[in-house]
Amino acid sequence: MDVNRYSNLFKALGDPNRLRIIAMLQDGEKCANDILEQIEISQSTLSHHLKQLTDADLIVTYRDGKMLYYSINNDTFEKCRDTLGMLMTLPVTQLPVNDVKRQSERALSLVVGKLIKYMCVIDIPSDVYQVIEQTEDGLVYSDCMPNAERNLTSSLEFVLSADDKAIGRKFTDFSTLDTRVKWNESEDMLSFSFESPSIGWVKASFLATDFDEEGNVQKVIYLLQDISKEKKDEKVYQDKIAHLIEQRKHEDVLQQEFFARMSATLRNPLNGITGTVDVLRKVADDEDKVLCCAGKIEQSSLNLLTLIKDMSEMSEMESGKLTFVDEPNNIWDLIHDISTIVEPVAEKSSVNFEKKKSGRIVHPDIVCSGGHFRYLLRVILCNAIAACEAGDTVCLAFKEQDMFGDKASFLFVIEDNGRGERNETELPVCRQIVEKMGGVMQVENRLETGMKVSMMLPFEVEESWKEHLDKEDHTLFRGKRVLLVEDNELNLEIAQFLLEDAGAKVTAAVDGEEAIALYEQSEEGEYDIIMMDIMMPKMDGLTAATEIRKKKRRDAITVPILAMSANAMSGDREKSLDAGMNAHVCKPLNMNKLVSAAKELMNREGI
Amino acid sequence: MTVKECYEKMGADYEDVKARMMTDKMIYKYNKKFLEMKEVTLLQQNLQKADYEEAFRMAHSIKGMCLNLGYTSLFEASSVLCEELRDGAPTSDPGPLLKAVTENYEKVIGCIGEMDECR
Repeated sequence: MDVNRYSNLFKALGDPNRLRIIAMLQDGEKCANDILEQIEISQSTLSHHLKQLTDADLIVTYRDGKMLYYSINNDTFEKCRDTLGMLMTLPVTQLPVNDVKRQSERALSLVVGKLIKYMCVIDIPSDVYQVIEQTEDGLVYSDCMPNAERNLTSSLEFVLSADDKAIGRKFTDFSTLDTRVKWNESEDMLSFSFESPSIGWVKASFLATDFDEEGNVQKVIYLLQDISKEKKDEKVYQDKIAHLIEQRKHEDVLQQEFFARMSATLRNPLNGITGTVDVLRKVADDEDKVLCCAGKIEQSSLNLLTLIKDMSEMSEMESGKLTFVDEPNNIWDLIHDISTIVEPVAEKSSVNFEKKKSGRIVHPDIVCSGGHFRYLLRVILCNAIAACEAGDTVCLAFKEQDMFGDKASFLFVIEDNGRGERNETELPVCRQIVEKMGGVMQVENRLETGMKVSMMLPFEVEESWKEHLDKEDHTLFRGKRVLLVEDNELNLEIAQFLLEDAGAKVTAAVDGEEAIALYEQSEEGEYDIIMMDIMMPKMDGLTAATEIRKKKRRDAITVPILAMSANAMSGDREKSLDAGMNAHVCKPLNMNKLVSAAKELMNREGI
Repeated sequence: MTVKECYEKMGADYEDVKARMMTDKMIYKYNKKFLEMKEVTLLQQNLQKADYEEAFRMAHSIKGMCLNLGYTSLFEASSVLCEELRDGAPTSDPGPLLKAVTENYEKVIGCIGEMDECR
């Protein structure tokens, strides 16, 4: 039952002629001519009125041959009467005042703090009810009214949505009230909550107050409470829960992705270790090869350690527990660590991952929270890779800029040409980290052509740079296999001493020919670096480097070759580079020179 | 004479070589080794038989050793001769250049002879 329909219905009744017509039809069905005989209106006016009444469902028609008969629709009139009953109050005898007071007080105490829209007391046997209103002066009781059940039912139905009407009728059925109250012993009240299209969330309740000797309900209090606020709170709460569930799901997906990536990444160094152990068993008698294997196992273990550290950093970061620890770090080491994680991810989806360094890194030794830095670059790089398809490219470009106050300022640009969907949920965290590091982050999402993330990060330059470098020397060359080529016996001895002092395993050759012979005998990837004098008898360094680069082996192009020369002229440097060497250091050799050259080379070559 | 005193006497760069080799023991070791090196003799012989290519290689080698051991004045003398021989036959008489190398070399080995044993 809806308000619009009733207002239309009463509009249809709101005309003297239409009321006359209805009065005429009270005696029984009539055709149009019968009506026209008793009323002074034209036939067309009558047709109009009859249509209004028919549209409002107040009268119905039936055809008998050519004649159309009109009669009253009793159903509609009954509903009208109910509606009116709800709207009107009719004076009847009053309930005893004491009863009313006692009951209403009880009702009030039960609904303290609740907004009551409507309240009445009902005497079930007589079907009489009395409305109670709260005013400033206290409770005001209406006169007693009859037809409590019918009025309650229709008034409730009036505000119910179509779906709830049936339940509403069952709720206000007095005949079942006894049974329901008995079944419902645990609760004080019988209640029915519903959302009304016209008045919002409401709870209707019956509270039985008086019983006869057989335990049948005699008197009840009927209440309508506004529960919109509770429902709203509940809705907010449910939305919150739903949101939390969504968020949790998302985190789970991220975590699963991460672990899937990680287990794939962990497999590489592990395979390296188990593979080398196999080799180790076969070469157990050859001390050199055993040492070489030990070096490889050490390297793979170090990679594994980094990965594990990274995993714990990731989980700490996710739970917001990773604390900023400013500690000495080396920019090459950091980038190397990140590469070990990111490269397998890129490889798996056939995405090209490039690293580009421009200019000179003047301050490779910086102070920063390594965990945060690694997290930052890894997240941005992995997200870029995720947005890429096979064949796309992700590039990490970096360079050192002018000093930023007394700090070394680095620019990192991560650029990709992926067009896939992007997960940007981690970007705000990244931005926070960048800002906490005192840097600036800029994101340029070019949708169709990829994304570009630029970060300017200022790092404190490590004070004890030299001291630190000395420490680093050992770790850089420790376990590394070096093919050292030098014709002069004294110079060879000095270079070998310096390298071995730093933990390198040196194989010496006295000229280009011997160097090539040794290289050919070595296993692929056995030498981590070749250091070579330029001027030598039999075959000079330039020729030897060119020859090595021409060999058909996988490491022919990748093995770093470092030229060592007493010639400091730039033309010599260019000749070395043209011959396929990667860098050129001038004599006299010292460890800082070798380390910084080798460090740059090894990072560039991804060792 | 200590290693340091020796280096001062021969006009060599002690600080530089010490920074690279860390200990006097190593400096002593390689200085003694230098006494066994035949490059200067070979340089003289090759120049006499006009094998300029081999002479150039020797001069270059001497240059390299001088850099490693910090013999500043011998390095300078050998560098000049080395450049003179770089493109084959010298354009002028290499005699005075060789003489400078020889004199500096004699001075260096003389000083090394006076160096106290360092273990």
